Parts: sequence; C-alpha cells; structure tokens
Amino acid sequence: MTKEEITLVDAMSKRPVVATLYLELAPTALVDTEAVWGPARVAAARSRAHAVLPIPEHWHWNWATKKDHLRLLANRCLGIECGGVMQGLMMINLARHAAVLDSDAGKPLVYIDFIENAPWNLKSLVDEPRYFGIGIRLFEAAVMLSTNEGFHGRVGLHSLPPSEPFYERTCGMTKLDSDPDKEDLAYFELSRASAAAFLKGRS
Amino acid sequence: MKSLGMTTNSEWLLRKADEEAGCNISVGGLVSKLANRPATSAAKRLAFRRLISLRRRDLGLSIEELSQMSGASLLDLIRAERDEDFEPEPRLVYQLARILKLPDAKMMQLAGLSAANEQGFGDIAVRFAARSEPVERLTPTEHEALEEFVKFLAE
Repeated sequence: MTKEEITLVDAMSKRPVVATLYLELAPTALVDTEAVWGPARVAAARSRAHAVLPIPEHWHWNWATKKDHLRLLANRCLGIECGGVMQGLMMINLARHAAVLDSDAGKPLVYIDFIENAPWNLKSLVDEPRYFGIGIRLFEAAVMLSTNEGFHGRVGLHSLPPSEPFYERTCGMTKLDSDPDKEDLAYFELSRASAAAFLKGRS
Repeated sequence: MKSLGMTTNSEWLLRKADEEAGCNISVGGLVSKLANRPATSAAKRLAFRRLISLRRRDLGLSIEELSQMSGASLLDLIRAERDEDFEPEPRLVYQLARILKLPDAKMMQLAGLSAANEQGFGDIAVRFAARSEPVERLTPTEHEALEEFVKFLAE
C-alpha cells in the first residue's frame, strides 16, 4: 500500500504529530474504519441528542457502503492514520467531472466525492477533539494528486452547507451555483491559478 | 505511485489547522446518495446499447467518426453498442454523452454507474429498448434459420 509520512496537529498540545497518508486504500480498509467510526459516531450523536444539541448532517454516513465505489478504476480512496487509527477519509474521482470556471472550462480535474473526519476530531460532535488539520491535509493531497495527474491542481466538490466556509476561505475555492443534481449543494472549484496560490502558500 | 510531495512546513500546517479547527469539512451528497452501486438490470444495459446505436445513426455518424470525435477507441465503441457484458468506464460514458448530446447524469444511470433517483426510470428504459427493436421483415435466410430453431425447440 502506497503511503507517505505527514504531520497533523495534536489538539491538546497544538504541536505537530507524525501521521501516515495512505494514497490508495483497499475496500477492506473502509470496512475496518467504519467498524471503529460507526459506533463512535452514533454514541456522540446520541449524547448530543440527549443534551438537545444539533447533530451534524453527515453523522449517519457509512463508509463501509462506499467500498463498492472503488470497483471503478477512476475512483480512489485516501486516508490519514495517526495513533494507529484512521483519522480522515477522502474518496476522489479522476474521470467523471470537468472544470466549469471560465479560465479552465472543460479541463479535467480531481473531483472529491466524499470527505469525512473521524467523529472524535469534530468539534460539532465532541467537546475535546483529538487532532486538527485532517481536512486541510486531505485537500492538499487532492491538489497534489491533481498536479501529478497533469490537471494543474484543479479540484471540484459539492460541499455540505456547514463545510462551505472551510472550502471557500481556508482552501481558496470558488463557490458556484447550487446544483439541482446534487440535492442543491453548492459546487466549489479550485482553478489552476488558485491551486498555484494554494501551493505557494505552503512555502 | 511516487510520493505526492506533501509539505513539511509546520508553520503553514498550524495556521491552516487553526482555521479548520472550528469548521466542518464534510463533502458529498446526503445519505440518499450514499447507497451501494446498484446492480445494472439487463433492461438498462440493453437500453444503453440501443440508445448509443440509434443516436449515433440518427446523427449520421459512423463508429469511426464517433471514435475520432470522442477520442474513444473503436473497440470500446463497438462493445458499448453490441456487447451485453461490457461495463463502460465513466470517462467513456461522459465522452459519448458529450458527442451524442445526451444528458450525462441519465447516461451514467443507464450504464449502471450511478443510482437512478426517479421512480419508473427502469420501466421507461425497458419500453424504449422494446420500441427501438427493428421491425423489418426477415430475409428468407433469417426466416429459414428461425423456423429451424423453433422446430428444434418444439421437439
């Protein structure tokens, strides 16, 4: 399995911690991950419901059901492991979508089908998250993958409403119209120029 | 696969992670979109093959011309029209949808690459497949072969 050493941020100490980025997870890894995440997600959601607190929209996602997406060659699942446990997962597609922004219209991009954080890293689910930086690391991986594929860093995705500020402000994506084919979720795209700016910001 | 080239810049990570800390990052459709990839019915596969073939002929395109316009291989196009076991890749379906001016989301559903979210989609596909079957009279040779086979079945 191809992997790369990266760092996340320990939420308590606010210091970098070593983690592993897996670039091509096998379907069984999704099932194994869901076996750990599922009960933790349900327990956290139940405790919030008892406390009459809002529950994130995605709490019922089940990654084990997504393993069949990997039967398609153009689909790939990446994951970040830290402390021996998967902390974040991302499913991408390299063939299905093309860019729509004027400057890149019709050009290929990396489309992010799904991203999720482990339930214990979400402030919306737990009072004391364990790790920060999972989202930005997965997004960085998508941009790098797009660059390596010759797509010049172009990335597209449909964001759930509570995640929109992260993709617009932190990742530098452009928000476009809501998409009726995607339950009216807003479409976000990282253009070639924005990808260059995102990558330059790392140096 | 070579290394992706993820940054080792801790300062950048700390800053971005701090921005991310209060945010959700979830992406994708809601739970209704997250079902398993459906098994493709034989009727939908048939409708997919007939649709490509009829649309191509309706536009006056040969398979060779369609191949040149779409960038798809001749073999893939022939299999897409005639091979009932052929499972097209998403890229091919999108290429065909673009050139043949057909809605790509519906084409993906017909090809079994995404779930249909309209009730009755399968029934409509079956009706199309049935109506699009040729009704020309059999040639004498075809008639003879048919009679012979039916006779064999009846024995």
